[in-house]
Amino acid sequence: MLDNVLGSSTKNAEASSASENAPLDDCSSQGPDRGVSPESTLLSDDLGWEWSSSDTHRLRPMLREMVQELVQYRELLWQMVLRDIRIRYKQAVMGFGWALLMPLLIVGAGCLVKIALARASGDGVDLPRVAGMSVKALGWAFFAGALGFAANSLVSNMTLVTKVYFPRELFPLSAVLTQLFDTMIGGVFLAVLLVIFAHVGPSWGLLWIPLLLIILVAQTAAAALFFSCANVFFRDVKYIVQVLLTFGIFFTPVFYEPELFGPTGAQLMMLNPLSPALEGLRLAIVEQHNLMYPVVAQLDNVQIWIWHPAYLLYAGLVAVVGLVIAWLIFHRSEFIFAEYI
Amino acid sequence: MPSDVLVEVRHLSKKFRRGESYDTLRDLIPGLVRRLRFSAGQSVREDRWFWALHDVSFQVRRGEVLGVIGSNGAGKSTLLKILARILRPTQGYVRVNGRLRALIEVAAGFHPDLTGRENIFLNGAILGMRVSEIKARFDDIVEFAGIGPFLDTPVKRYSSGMFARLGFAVAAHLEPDILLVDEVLAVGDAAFQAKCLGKMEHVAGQGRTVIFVSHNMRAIMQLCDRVILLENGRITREGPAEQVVDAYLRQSLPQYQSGMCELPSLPEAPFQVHRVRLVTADGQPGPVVARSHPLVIELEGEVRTPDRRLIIAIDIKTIDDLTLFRTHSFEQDLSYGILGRPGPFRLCCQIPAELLPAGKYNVGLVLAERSVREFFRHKQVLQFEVYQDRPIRGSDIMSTVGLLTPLCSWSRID
Repeated sequence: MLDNVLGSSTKNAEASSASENAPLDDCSSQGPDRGVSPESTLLSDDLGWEWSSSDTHRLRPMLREMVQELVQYRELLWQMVLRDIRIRYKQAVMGFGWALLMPLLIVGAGCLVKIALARASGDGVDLPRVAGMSVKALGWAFFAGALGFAANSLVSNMTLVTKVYFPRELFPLSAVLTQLFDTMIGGVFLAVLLVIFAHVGPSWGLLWIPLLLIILVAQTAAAALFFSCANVFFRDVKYIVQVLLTFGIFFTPVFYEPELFGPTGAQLMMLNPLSPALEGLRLAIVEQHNLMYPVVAQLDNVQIWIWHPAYLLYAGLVAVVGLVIAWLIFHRSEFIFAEYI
Repeated sequence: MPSDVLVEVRHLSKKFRRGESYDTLRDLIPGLVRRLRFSAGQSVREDRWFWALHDVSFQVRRGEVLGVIGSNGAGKSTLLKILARILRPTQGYVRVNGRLRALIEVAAGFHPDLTGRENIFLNGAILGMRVSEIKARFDDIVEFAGIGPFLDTPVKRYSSGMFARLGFAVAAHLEPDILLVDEVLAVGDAAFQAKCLGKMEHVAGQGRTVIFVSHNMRAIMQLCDRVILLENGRITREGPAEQVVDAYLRQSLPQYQSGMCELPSLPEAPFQVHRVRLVTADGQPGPVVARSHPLVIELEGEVRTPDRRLIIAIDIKTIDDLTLFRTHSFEQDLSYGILGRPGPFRLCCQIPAELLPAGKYNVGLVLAERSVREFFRHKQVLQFEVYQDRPIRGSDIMSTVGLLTPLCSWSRID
């Protein structure tokens, strides 16, 4: 009987009375949602696990384990996000200041760049461009803030990592979710400003926001998982992340639009996986553009796609593949964390 | 598999890397270059691995209290960390059937800026409780910790006692199927470790399953049904607590732990002691003594130049080197004749039963010529352990107070 159990590397064999009749090796049928009823407070969920060295490297059991653990520990993830939010907003002034400071600084820097470019080219600084830049700045602030916190999240929680077991993914993921909360507060603030000053009204384009946000969050989570994991093994990774975040903004179309770089430069700029999500946000919110349709521009007698739905597909693909790969790397190495930290 | 086996471990091995590893990219890249240039380093690299656990197999059944003992570095904590899923084994098979939780220094998960209430939920979740469980036990936890009025105060304003109590209160309400207790993991202060022990006794008393790692042989013998002895990552002995503990104590630190000590020779001195032995109730030498028996220390030696002023003193000390009392060889020998004859001698010093509370003690020895000079002084010739073999007199709180617990006589005089 044991031999067919060994098929999966680690699993949460639920020995509770409810699932006792289910065959032990049929883990997938037990589903991720274990349906916690409020009555089941006292030890009704007898968890268990097993591990065997004969089979640790198979992909499917590992993916299943990853998802199952995340579902199982969702309450802890929520508690950790709550903890971080509470700490940041304990003093309301500091909390809201924190949520607004970074986007405001980036927008301020962007305004400087815009004014300089306008002086050089002789164009004026127009409101839609500043509005679009602000939208992208908020998106970048989310990415930079989340990655900055996440990269160090494992090392700074080393006492927990070496003493208690729970999926280590929760550390970088809670950093990302906490930053998402901050960004939403910044977003509300920005929305009010856009409506008042830039006269941005509701449009069907706004319906694209959820998809764009999901892509942005997934890409951020992928980077957060990868760099937080790398930082455990190589402590100087956090400096690399800092440099990346300081100068990455120049390789991402935040302060300017990609077409500023000419036909080839614009296409290269869109290769940055963050570009489509940020540009998409600008087009959908400020330009009120339906992202299903491309935007074509004439540059140096060459026709280029300022926007194409394929960009979105590319960003989405990078997000999904990147997230799966980063998560797998993280999960494969999370059991060595306690040895390295 | 029989369903009452809660923990099953088969052929478990864990390999660690020893010595330097590259923990920055700045070191890694030159290291890789070096390795490419001198690829003869193969055998050197293999040496850097060592097995913290090697082919370990055991089972724990429902309701059993399993003790794990062994010297430092034997792999005890590695084993517990694997069972707690903090480390993943290199080889082998582990199956845990039920909720397994480790009793650790829980305050690690506290955040100073959060209130007591918020920290209870955060810590409960970290330790593996569901929010619904924490809610159900919330009032008990608050009452146990005794922090009622300060529930909504940030814990950074708590006194250290309150802080520790709250931390323990959360852990004490875990109610797992299998409880792991490691004195090494539970770094906290003595008070916390004492609480851990108390909690363990409570849990074990309820017929729950416990795996207990400790250096405290008294606690191991009191609490454990079965003990495994780890040496260099292998199980070398497994069986009833007394047998395994006894074997372990005899083999580790033979000088102190065998209850016998050979002393260096002192050719210059007028007399000397060759050997000091601790004798247990059954007349065998041994380092573990029941509290209800008198403690007998035997001294063998030789007098070269007899003198009435020759004196032997024995100091009984706690292991942190606090001298509890000193007793001299002429205490009941007013003619000072005990060392007044030349030739070999054997002395026996009997320390009354029930005087020392359970715990570990050192024996110090001083040889001197009274009010003239000292020939020999050793802080620790023997180490012994007193264990509680009978129910403690009176209430259990009162009896454990104090460094000495002599049996005093009480009577009415009215």
